[in-house]
Amino acid sequence: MHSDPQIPDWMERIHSGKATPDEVDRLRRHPGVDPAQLDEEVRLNRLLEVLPPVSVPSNLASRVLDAIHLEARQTRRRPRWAGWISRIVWRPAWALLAVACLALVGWRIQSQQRTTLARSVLIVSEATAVPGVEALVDFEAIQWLESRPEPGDLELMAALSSP
Amino acid sequence: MSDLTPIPDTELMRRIKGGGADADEALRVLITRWQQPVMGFIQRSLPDPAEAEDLTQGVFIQLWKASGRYQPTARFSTFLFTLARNLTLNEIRRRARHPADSMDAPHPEFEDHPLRQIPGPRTDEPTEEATRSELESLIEAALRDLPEKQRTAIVLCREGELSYEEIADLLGTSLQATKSLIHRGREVLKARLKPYLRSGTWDPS
Repeated sequence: MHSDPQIPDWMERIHSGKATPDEVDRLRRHPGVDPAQLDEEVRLNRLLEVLPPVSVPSNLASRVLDAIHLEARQTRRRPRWAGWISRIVWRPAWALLAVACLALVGWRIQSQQRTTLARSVLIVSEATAVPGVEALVDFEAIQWLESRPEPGDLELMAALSSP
Repeated sequence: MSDLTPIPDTELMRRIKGGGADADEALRVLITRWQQPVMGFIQRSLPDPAEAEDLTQGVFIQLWKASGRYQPTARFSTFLFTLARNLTLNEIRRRARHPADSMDAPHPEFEDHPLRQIPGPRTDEPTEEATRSELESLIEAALRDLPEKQRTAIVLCREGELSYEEIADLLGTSLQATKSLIHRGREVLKARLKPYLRSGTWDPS
């Protein structure tokens, strides 16, 4: 239908409902136009013209201006310090909240590290044979632990001292 | 008639942006000039005329607030209808989220009654008038049921008197895609209104 480069412009005029009857007739006679399709477009336009124009209230402009003036008055009525307060208070409050969040995350990580360390110490202590607390409290027992050589040690000393 | 009436939209916007003594008058002229197409555009998307009226008021308040952002290089109609479209889409989304707020929603106490009674066609009016009213409702419903972009393109083309290029700018699509949207939308309308297309008017026979 749109072999002629002029046709799309005419179709735009028809779609917008601005085409004059003369323009429609010229378009209908155009060899690149399907008259049946064109008539359908024109009929659809006629149907869309059935819709009445919306009724706008006569005082719309006054209502808009009243609303704008009211808003402007409310903005002016707000004391200047209110703006400063909000700027002074809100920014540090947000900064404080961010610092608190970071501190909480740091504390969580640290406490997790400590738990891991404690668990690993427990594993090591369970694996190593360490004398009980009672033995360490008894001074003589400590002496005994330190002074009594193992038989293997004596044999090793003897072997080392022999020429 | 105001002295500002023959002044172009871009100049009126410059005066509103400047906030001088004639800013109010400039806005009043713009509202008078554009209220009909803006409200027409909104009412094709929202069935309730009262809501469309409130939203139209909101569009012009938003225009005043956004005047600082307006660049005279942009076409005023595109700027204005972008605001109108965004507010309408927000309202449609809000109504989808809170269907109870809709004027068509059932009354909380009387579930079979809508919140606001929209007057139906008078039973004593002449038949021709009744059929015309019925046809209007059908066309309005057919337009409202179109996908948003198709509806916007068709309504702006007819009622907003925007060119294809301006509609493409507003929708953020290419010129070709805009033509395609209008073509597809009109095809859907033709299909839905087929019984009435025979003579171009109401013809139930």
